[in-house]
Amino acid sequence: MVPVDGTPTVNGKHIRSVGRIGAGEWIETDSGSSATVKVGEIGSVQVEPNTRLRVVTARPGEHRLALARGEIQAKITAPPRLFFVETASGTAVDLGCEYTLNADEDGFGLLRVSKGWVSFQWKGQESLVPAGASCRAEQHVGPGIPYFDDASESLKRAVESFSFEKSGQDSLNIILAEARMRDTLTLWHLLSRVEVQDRARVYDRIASLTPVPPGISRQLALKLDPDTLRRWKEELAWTW
Amino acid sequence: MLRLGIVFCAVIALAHPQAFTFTIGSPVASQDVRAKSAAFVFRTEGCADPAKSQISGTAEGVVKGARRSVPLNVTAMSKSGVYAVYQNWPPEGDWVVNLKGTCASASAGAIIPVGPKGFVRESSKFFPRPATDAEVDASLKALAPGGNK
Repeated sequence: MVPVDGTPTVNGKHIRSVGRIGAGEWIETDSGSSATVKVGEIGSVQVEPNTRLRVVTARPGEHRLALARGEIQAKITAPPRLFFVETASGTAVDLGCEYTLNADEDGFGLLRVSKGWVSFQWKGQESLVPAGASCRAEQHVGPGIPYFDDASESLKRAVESFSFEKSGQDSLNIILAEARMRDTLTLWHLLSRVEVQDRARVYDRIASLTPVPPGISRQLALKLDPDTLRRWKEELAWTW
Repeated sequence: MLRLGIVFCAVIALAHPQAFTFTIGSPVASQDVRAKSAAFVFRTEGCADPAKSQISGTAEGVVKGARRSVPLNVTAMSKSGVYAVYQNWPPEGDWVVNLKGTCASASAGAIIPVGPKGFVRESSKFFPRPATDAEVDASLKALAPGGNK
């Protein structure tokens, strides 16, 4: 760990020069300090002011941090699934990327990806967040639905409402109306999170924005068949 | 009559196979972590043997009034027919990527404007042949201040 500004602490001890951090140790910065943490040979994490971060695991096959509060910026060069950051509302699984992850003590989190893509996971629920997109998360709810940062403000607000305020039909109507072709990222995730009777509306909206590829069965998609949804996502990604 | 209709449709399909084309996308579309720093990725379609397609291209630009051309850095990804284009042209100026490809006797071309926020899908143009110099120049002119971006 290299202090960038001020004197961050490791396990309560101020660090003024380069230091090593092992599993179980806490890194903490105050309003006047920040630090850069080198993660093995696979990248680095910038620890912003007012951040509390613990090293969970530090070994060649797995580097895992836990962000209690604050903000980090990760730049990872490793193959996928070697670097993980846990928060109270989800775990960011690196798939080869650069991203900013923000969490507060109430368990609210925000993941913003600038390069590559990240899988944001919690109790079996997963959100794929590519570069240029963000995803909020809440404790006890997990990651919400990702959206591109250049989506309309109405769509972004509706996604937040749908994900965390359970505002149902009103938010769904706005999302469907405001979605552009690249917002099929949002719509694809929405498909498995709406009520059963609304799935057809989401499917049809995606189909109106970009042709459904041959071999993708509407019937199986509406049943949320995993293989169908995976293959559809791989094709939709060409529009993101 | 139905049987005749089905045979007729099959004949039509065989006579008009899918044309050889490019499709462009963000790095996530490649499903390959090596593409994460790419400017964009693309795939070939309508090629019976993608591994035998020939792909090349240049970045064409105008920097402080001077016309520039830089050979492209194109890398094949793990999935056959999928490639990544990495930026090796200067950040200043206006730039387009001029892609060319052949598959057996078929050809394809594309002009993809690129800027600080990545590739511009809406302004990209696709051709069943390499783009002409005039088409590249027209795309660059459209990027200049006052042009139709």
